[in-house]
Amino acid sequence: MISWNPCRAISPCVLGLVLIPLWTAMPALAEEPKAGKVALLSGGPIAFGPEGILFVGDPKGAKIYALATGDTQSTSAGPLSAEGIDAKLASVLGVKPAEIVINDLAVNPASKRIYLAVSRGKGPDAIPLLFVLGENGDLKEVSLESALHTSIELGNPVAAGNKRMEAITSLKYAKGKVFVAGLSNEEFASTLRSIPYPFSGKVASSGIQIYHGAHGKFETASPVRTFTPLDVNGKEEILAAYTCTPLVRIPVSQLTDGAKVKGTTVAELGNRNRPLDMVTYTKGNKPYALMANSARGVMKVALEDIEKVDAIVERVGDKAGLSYESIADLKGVEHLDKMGETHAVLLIRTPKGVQIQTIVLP
Amino acid sequence: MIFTVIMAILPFTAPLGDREISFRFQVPGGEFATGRFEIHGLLPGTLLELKDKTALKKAFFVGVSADQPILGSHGVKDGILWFAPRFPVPPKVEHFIRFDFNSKNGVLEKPGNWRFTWDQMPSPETRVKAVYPSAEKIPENTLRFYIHFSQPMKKGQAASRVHIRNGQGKLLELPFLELDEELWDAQQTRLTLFIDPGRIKRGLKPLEEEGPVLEAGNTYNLEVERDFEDATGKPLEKGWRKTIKVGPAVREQINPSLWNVVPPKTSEGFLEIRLNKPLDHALLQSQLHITNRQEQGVSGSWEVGNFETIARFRSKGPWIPGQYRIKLGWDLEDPSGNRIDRVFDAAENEKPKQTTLSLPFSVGN
Repeated sequence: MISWNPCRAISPCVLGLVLIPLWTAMPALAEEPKAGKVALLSGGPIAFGPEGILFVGDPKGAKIYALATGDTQSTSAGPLSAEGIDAKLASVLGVKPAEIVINDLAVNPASKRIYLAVSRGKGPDAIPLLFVLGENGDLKEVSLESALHTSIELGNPVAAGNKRMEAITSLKYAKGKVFVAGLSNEEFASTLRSIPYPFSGKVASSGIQIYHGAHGKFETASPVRTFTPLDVNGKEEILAAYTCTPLVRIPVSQLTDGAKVKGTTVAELGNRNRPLDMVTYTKGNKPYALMANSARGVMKVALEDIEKVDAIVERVGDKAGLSYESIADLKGVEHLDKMGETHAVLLIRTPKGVQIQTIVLP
Repeated sequence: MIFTVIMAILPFTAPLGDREISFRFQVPGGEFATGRFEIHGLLPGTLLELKDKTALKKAFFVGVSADQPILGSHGVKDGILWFAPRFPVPPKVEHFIRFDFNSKNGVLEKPGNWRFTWDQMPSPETRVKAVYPSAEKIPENTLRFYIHFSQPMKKGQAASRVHIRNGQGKLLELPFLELDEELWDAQQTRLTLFIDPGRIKRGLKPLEEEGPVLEAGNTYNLEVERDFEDATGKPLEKGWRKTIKVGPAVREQINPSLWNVVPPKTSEGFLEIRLNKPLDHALLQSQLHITNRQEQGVSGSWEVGNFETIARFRSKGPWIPGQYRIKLGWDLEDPSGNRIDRVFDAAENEKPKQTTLSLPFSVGN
């Protein structure tokens, strides 16, 4: 009787025996973008990396996509004010403007073009889409049908229940890494993930604990709402904002897989407030953060004393730590991003609809 | 399943001497949302020229605004021009359809203008099915409410359409925690609302300064406005209101040793757990699991009743006589967020009491 040996019959199997130990000894290989359908289940936060790479967070799918937009030629995009963005999107997508949700806005630093993550509908079957704003204010869809892209799965996202959309709350790129904030199903639900790009399958996931001065407690359950990478005297950090409204420094060097990282609370910006979006910039040689939030308009936070300010480790009254000023004439700002080093692009909701406007950084 | 009927199609035909071109909204399988727009009655010369996609897109417009076409694809087949929208055609949205063609070869074709809207056949009205906690009297430190709707709902309305009114009829200001993302289940039929934990946890500034949202001894009305729209844009059948009386705060751990477990009496019967106090409606159904002597899970379904003080488990198959266990998940909570291992707002130095995490029961012959 002859027994059939699959390894004799199939040569790759023999090859595999030889190759597997070699592969595992090698460092993880970066993936090359391939053309294919980007099957978004939801289109959450977006951010740009270098060379026109657009990172798209999909909280329902618990994935990050990196789209090679090919939009790498610089344009002469100047100051812009485009009104009726929601009505324009509605007329392209065949719905009423009330059915349009704009989840995020990002400026491509390579071309200075503005990209939007949009949902068509507010029901359970809402459809995620991406659009780019042309120089003349026209909106063009970014095709997801056959897009050059790579993707990576976020392990252990918060369960697919009512908190799932918080699996990804904010996403940014800096110095070869994509940072992703959100909720996991771990003991410290608030999680910051650091993912090297190009993707190689590696995700370093850290639980984050902060001291919430207004509550007088350490907290690990509420996610970072918005954040921005920050350089503090050559050290990479994350400046993170939470609901109700602590501002926290987190050292990037501590964001290793499985780590439980304690942030340093450097400001309490007041109760009953939700931070919406944030960028950092330098003006007159001084560093600032510009933060859109639900209750106090747009705040300009002075970061000059970020290393000198006492960490908040005890209960505080309403506000403490770094000081800020409210930019009085900016109202209804829901999202913002930097355009170059001197300008910001704002997504503003007015009673008449949604508008996009560039401003000089204040 | 959506039942449909056309509300308005005006005008359906455009006369052209003795010849007519006409517009049709073609509905495959009776689903209006997946319908396509067609123009019939064109001359063969026109159809030939419109095989050119650019010319076709220019000549045949479908939009919901005057000049912006909606996304979709065009084609010519069997003497018909068609446009298939990329996304479902929503009800109650007026569509403008235009045919306007300048032939290079001198084919004479007059323009046509049409409008089209469809509406749903009156479908069952959407209503509030249930609200949990369902008891008439709830603790002062109640942490969350669930509102169950009979159909999927639209996101983005919870803060403006759900209210709590005090005994004098005054609306409470921001009674619920404001969240960036409203908490809906995947079907968008169950909304979870949290009372601001800052006004529940002892030792926090909002509680000390403003007091609890719900005060023991008072009566309130929890209200859902009729204008809360379902996923199709329809308001509720009627506004909904529930009167709630508020009792003292509950700040004790869940203690399963005080539960009364009644094993199934027959192989087809149900297991009944009589709780010593109400627990969270949703978590009772996700945090209790039955295992047999071999530690294998028993599949079946849970039912929660009697103001969330009784949980019944019906096994999918018949019960086999023997030993079983009820395994309790650590995430089980009561309506005030108290857990098996700790009280919701336990201070760091308050040591939780040890409690049991599984309860045995047996099914007899």
